[in-house]
Amino acid sequence: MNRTKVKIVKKLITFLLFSAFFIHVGLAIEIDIGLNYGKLQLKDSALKDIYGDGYVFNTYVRLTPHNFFSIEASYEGGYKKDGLVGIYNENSTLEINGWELCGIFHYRFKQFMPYVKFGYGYYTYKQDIDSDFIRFKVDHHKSTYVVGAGLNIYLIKGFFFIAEVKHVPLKVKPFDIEKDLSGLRYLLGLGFEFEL
Amino acid sequence: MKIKREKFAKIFLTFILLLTISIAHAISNKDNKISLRLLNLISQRGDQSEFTAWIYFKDKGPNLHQKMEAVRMSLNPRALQRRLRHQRFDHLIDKYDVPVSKSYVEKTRIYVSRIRHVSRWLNAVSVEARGYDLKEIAQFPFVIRIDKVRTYTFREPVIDRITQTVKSFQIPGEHTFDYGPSFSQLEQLNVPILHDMGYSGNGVLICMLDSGFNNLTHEALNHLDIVTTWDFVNNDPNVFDEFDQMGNGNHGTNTLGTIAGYKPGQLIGPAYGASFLLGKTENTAWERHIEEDHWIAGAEWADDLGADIISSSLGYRYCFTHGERDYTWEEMDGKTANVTQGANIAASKGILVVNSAGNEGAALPPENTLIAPADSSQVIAVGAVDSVGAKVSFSSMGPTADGRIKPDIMAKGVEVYTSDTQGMDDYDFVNGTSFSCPLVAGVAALILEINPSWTNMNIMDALKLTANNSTIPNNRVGWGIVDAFKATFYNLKNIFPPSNFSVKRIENNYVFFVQYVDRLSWTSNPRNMSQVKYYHIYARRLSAQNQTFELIAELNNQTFSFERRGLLSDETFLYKITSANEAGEESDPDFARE
Repeated sequence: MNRTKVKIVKKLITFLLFSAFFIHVGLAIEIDIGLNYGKLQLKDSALKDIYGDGYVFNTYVRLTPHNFFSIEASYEGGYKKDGLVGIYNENSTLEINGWELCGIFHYRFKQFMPYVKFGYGYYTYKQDIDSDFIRFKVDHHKSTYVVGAGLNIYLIKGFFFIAEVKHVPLKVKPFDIEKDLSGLRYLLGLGFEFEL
Repeated sequence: MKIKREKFAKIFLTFILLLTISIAHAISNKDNKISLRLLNLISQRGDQSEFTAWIYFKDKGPNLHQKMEAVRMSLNPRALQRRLRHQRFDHLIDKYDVPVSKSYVEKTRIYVSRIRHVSRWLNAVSVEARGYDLKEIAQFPFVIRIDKVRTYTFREPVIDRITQTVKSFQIPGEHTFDYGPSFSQLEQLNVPILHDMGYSGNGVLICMLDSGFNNLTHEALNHLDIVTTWDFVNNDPNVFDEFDQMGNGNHGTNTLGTIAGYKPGQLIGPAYGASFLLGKTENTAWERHIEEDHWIAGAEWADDLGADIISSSLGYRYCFTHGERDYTWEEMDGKTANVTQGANIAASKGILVVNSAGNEGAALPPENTLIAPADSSQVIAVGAVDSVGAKVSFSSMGPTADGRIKPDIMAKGVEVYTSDTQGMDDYDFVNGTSFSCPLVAGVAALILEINPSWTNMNIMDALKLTANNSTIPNNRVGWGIVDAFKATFYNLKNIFPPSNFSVKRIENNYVFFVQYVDRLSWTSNPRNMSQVKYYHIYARRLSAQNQTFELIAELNNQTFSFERRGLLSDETFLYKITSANEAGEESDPDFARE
């Protein structure tokens, strides 16, 4: 097991223990599920030129053992863009997706619940090139941290709208060249809450 | 007792018989060493008469390999260069290069009046000696054969002397030079275009073997780079006529003017910029006879000094001396005549030997009228045509006795304009294959100047295969009239590598990684005419272990670039490219590396 994976496992265990503590001390556990959709705005201008910004979806499960804190597990996907690369303008596809585990600090004020989130992301990035001449294709992973902020708006009992901005810094270097896949996500979504 | 006597008598008779056989064998051996024709001459003229004879030795004495090494160390740099073109480095020297054993020569010298020439090629000496002494020499164990030095008539074509006014058909401004009356003899061979391109035979060393060279201060000859001269008849450096010596410099002056004259408006020879060795090998004073040993000595001299080409407007077939038989047509087989053997050895050393086919006219096949050494397969035999390209009646015909086509090629041999031997600015029209020969030798010099890596046989092939009758060669005109331009730009494979072959490495960025591209580019070779069908690209990864090239692309003749993709930064390659024709024959490669 390489050092990166060991780190991830350690962080995951710490997070689960932390969550179990809150679950244990809580009187009741509220569960949110939600789906967000929005724009992924890439930071790297060269990548933007080739593939451009894209749209992503984000689905999550959020456990709220405490009035001010939640734990969220989510999956982000949907960024899959075509672009022409190299001196021969060969067709290629860039795909980014990842799993996230975040802690969320929130405060409910009537129908509104603003929040901030911090967590770890485990992202996969793939590049496929439609050419007979390429010897290496990219299918790599990278863990990173995730920060975000959002607002839930409760309109009907149990249902709420979501607006979120999230930043995922993702600098990768699969071979000799480091590339910055970092980007801001501007998300809107819909959630549903219920109690166990 | 009686039995004993009988036994003794038997033994004695047996002994006597054996002794008789041994003596007879010894006597017959001695006589066998002397050729029948020489024995006949000796019997006709008597033992006290003088004869010119070749004495052949059985070997070159002890320590042959040490002697070969000594020859290698002392080889003339020009000769070395010529041989390197022709042979592998480890075969540059052979037994023919080793001098004749001094011991054998000195032992022979005691018995002869004069040693005329010592030939390392034939491993023989030509001598003047009495018949009685020749028989004594035959008894030496190191002598294997004695033969007559053959003497031949020197013939010029039977044709009325041309009395002609000076004429020129050249259109003013058509070429760089005004060729004057010599235009037609060069235009027929397509030489002026090469002169226009700036070629003149510069850097090529031509050895002229002829009857002597007079009037070298002639206005068309005084520019010549004459490296050295030697008179093999009189054994001195003077190749012009001397009042107390035999010789006739007219013929040599005419042939020299034909090949290298330079007087714009009057006479320009095809190889006016070449360098020359002038060897007088023919004695034509009164009797107009020539002797083959001088020619062989001249050829060896040419080899020593690094000559690239021998132009010999001489030949040997019809004997001068009464009682001697001519060479028969069956002996024109490329290996019998001494002079042919000498020419073959000269060719084996990389010298291009160009010789007149002869002025002996026609014969009914299978007989021929060739003169030696024009019968050799390694000698270019040049026949004569007139100004409209028709074979001249006196021009000798093949085939050789072993069935090969001769002559090889043709050039003008009637009304050839050249320098005269009388005044400083006199010219003459002359006839004979003697003048076709230097025209072709001059063309060969141009070819060698432009293609310095070509061997003598490469040049011969190029001349023959581009001549105007190359598709249907015959024994009247051979492969036809020479085309100097086509021959010069002819490739023996008929195909040349592309030009300007280069490689450029380009970085190809695929976002997360870089792969490299070797961009190969070239241009078509103007010498290739239209015969290229494909370009073949080969690559070899540069490493000590890998010495093999692999074919990586076959591209059509309209493609002038190729990009080898997907290379890593640590991969470097040596590339080679060839042109290929429809038959799949490939040119020599051109190389380039990343």
